[in-house]
Amino acid sequence: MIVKDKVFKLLYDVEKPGRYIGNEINIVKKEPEKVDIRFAICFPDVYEIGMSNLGLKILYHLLNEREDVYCERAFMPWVDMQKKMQKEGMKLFSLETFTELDEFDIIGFSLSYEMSYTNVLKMLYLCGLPLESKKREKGMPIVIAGGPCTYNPEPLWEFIDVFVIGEGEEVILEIIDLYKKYKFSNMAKEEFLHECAAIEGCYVPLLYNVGYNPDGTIKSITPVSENVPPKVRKRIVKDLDTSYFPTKMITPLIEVVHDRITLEIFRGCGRGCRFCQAGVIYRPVRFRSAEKVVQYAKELVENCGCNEISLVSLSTSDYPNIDEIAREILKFAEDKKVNISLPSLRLDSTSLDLLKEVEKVRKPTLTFAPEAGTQRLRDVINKNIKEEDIYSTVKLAFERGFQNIKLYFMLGLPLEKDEDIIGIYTIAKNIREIYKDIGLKKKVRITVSTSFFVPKPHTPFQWEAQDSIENMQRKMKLLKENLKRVKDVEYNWHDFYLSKLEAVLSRGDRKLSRVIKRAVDLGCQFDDWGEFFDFSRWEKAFWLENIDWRFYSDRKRDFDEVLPWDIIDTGVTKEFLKKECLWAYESKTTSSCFERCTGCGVASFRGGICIGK
Amino acid sequence: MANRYRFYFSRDLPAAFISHLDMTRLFERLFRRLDIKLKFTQGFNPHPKIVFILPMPVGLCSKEEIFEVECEQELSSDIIDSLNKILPEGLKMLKVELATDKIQVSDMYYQCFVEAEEEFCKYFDEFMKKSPIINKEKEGKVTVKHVWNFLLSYECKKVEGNIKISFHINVVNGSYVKPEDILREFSQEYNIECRIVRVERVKVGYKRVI
Ligand code: SF4
Repeated sequence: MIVKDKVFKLLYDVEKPGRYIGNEINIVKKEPEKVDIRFAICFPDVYEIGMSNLGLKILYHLLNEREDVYCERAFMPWVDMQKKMQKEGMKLFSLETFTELDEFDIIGFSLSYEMSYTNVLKMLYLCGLPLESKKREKGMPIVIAGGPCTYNPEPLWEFIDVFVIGEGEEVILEIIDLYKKYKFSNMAKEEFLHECAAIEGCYVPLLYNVGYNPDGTIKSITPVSENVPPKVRKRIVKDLDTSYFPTKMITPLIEVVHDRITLEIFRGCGRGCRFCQAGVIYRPVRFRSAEKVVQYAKELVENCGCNEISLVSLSTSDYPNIDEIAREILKFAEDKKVNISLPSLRLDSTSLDLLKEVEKVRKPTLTFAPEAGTQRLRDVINKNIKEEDIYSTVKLAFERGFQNIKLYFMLGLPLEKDEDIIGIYTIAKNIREIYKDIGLKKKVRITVSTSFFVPKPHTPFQWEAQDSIENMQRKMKLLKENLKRVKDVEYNWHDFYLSKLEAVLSRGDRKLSRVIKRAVDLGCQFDDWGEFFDFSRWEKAFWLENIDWRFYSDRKRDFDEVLPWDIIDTGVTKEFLKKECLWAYESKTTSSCFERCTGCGVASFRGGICIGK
Repeated sequence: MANRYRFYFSRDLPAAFISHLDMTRLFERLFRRLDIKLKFTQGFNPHPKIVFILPMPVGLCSKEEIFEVECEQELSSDIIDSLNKILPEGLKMLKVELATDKIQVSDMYYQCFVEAEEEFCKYFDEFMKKSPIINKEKEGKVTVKHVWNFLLSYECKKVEGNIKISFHINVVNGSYVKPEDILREFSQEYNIECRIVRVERVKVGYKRVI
């Protein structure tokens, strides 16, 4: 029986069968026999999450633009489906043609968050492929991976043949050209990998040796031969206007997490928060022109039919004349009952007006991310939000009928003192008082959420220690006790152990690949899903591999320690990161790229706003 | 002036696995793509007035279903063709009419195909003779339905390796029994595994009311 029929027979008693049927609006249909290369984009989470990812959709359509390539998609089946597939002896299949994934030429994983690493391995298992790159011979798919997590590729080094570092739009096409040469000749896999390593932005872990010091830190990372580059430089798209963007975008039939059209208005962030990895790796800031944004918005609404269009970026307010653009889009969107959403808008009185005007559908919720409770600590992290501004915006917002305020903070930041934690309480208390003073009848809801600081590679805080679990617990309790005294405040905190594991995996080295494999064998999957995450299994995996996880999370590094991700060159220099870290210790702030260039090093890419600074 | 239109369509695999809510959203999107203005509800979260006469459980195929939709404009006759060009595989529009009356469902014909053991029909007939009852719990409330209060007739027979069970079901005061529920009740009571491979509504009878 063909795979498609087999799949459909399973769908009568699995949860959300719509996940497995493909068939979406704007899906690309081709005849697999008529292409040279079959490419499977894999997202290591369920359909609803994967299909909310813009990068995946861009690559899907970009690859399918090529006549010689057919790109299809696969997601992680939910556990009920996994069980049924296993029982029937079925392998992971693609949603376009229901082809088993081991029949593809290239399998490409999108690595968006560290907590999906176990799912990556699980998906390889479901494909029936050997996990290790070394064991996959010519004739088996080449496994590549891209996405923000590849900026520290080491924890998955054994399993991935080629990591794509940076924006994949161009690299991926170069890899495919090379793959074609490999497929239709007697080129050996080793030779293919060597040639891959020569493509800028490709990291082939097998071609590097890592040496260790007696204390477990890294001594050296060296290429196996002279023609393998000593560092892998990330790739960027220089100009968003001329780069590819699909407007006939695949649109799910079932409700997904972000059930709307997403249109990227700019890439990168010029603000330089010292804990933020996205702020570093996506540098420099590159704006898409207003004409293109409006034109794409129009085409997307026409082609996808969604009732909401979201203008995304890391910090929407930094787009020049965002209000003009939003109003321009509103002109045709309103008539079609399409709502515009503007996430990551910095909130002040002007943006409030804009929000009121364009976001008609949404329940009015105001979101602030001051991240830290006092100005001193906000200066440490270089987060440029003033308390007075929050208060004045909140006051305006209350007067205009907003009832829900959400506040995001981080606990455990470097140099944090208890008074910074009390500062969070003070902010919540003051907001509640503003509300009381205005004397409104409606109920207010103030939500305070805290996550725990996770030191990330390539950030000024990459050398910092993360708080111990005990410390996290104490701080959370301190805040909780204090917030109890404020009316109408709800407090949520992020799971300690999840933050811990994230810290371990994001700064991990090659030794972790064995641990991840153990974890999968012990049953770990969907670690990002509260109901599945089980830290004790991970502890067991570490114990079995004789590794202390605290070495990765709770340890402060020296500036001159060789870091596992030193092999990756983001364009931002280590000197800059170090300077930023030292400035943090002195609570000295750095201005944003929009005010002046502070010489991070990324200007060498000759793209975006750095030119002319 | 808003017009209410009645659309007839069929649904087969793979679209049969789209949930009821997702069907509504899908049609909203398709109409928007065709630039057809629907009538929306008022309030914070406006949604178009698309109403399916019968809910379609996930997995159900059907030869003919109906939804009604209120439009802010008059529809031209090529709407069926335009929709069919952009509908996902499995869905097909059959016809449209201006709805001046109201309709109610009177009865339905179902066909279920299941994979089961040889003797299935024998046991099933035995089960059906005993005037079976279906207990359903939803949010703490238990509803009890006597199958034969809703069932007009049924037939169980073997076809091409599968078992085919046909049901003719009566709708009484807007309520009916689902064939899947009858099958589940049976397989629990008799401890016989029956794996559904297709459920299809082959015909629906309507009453027109003014
Ligand atoms: S080079 Fe200058 S302007 Fe460009 S990202 Fe770095 S600091 Fe900002």
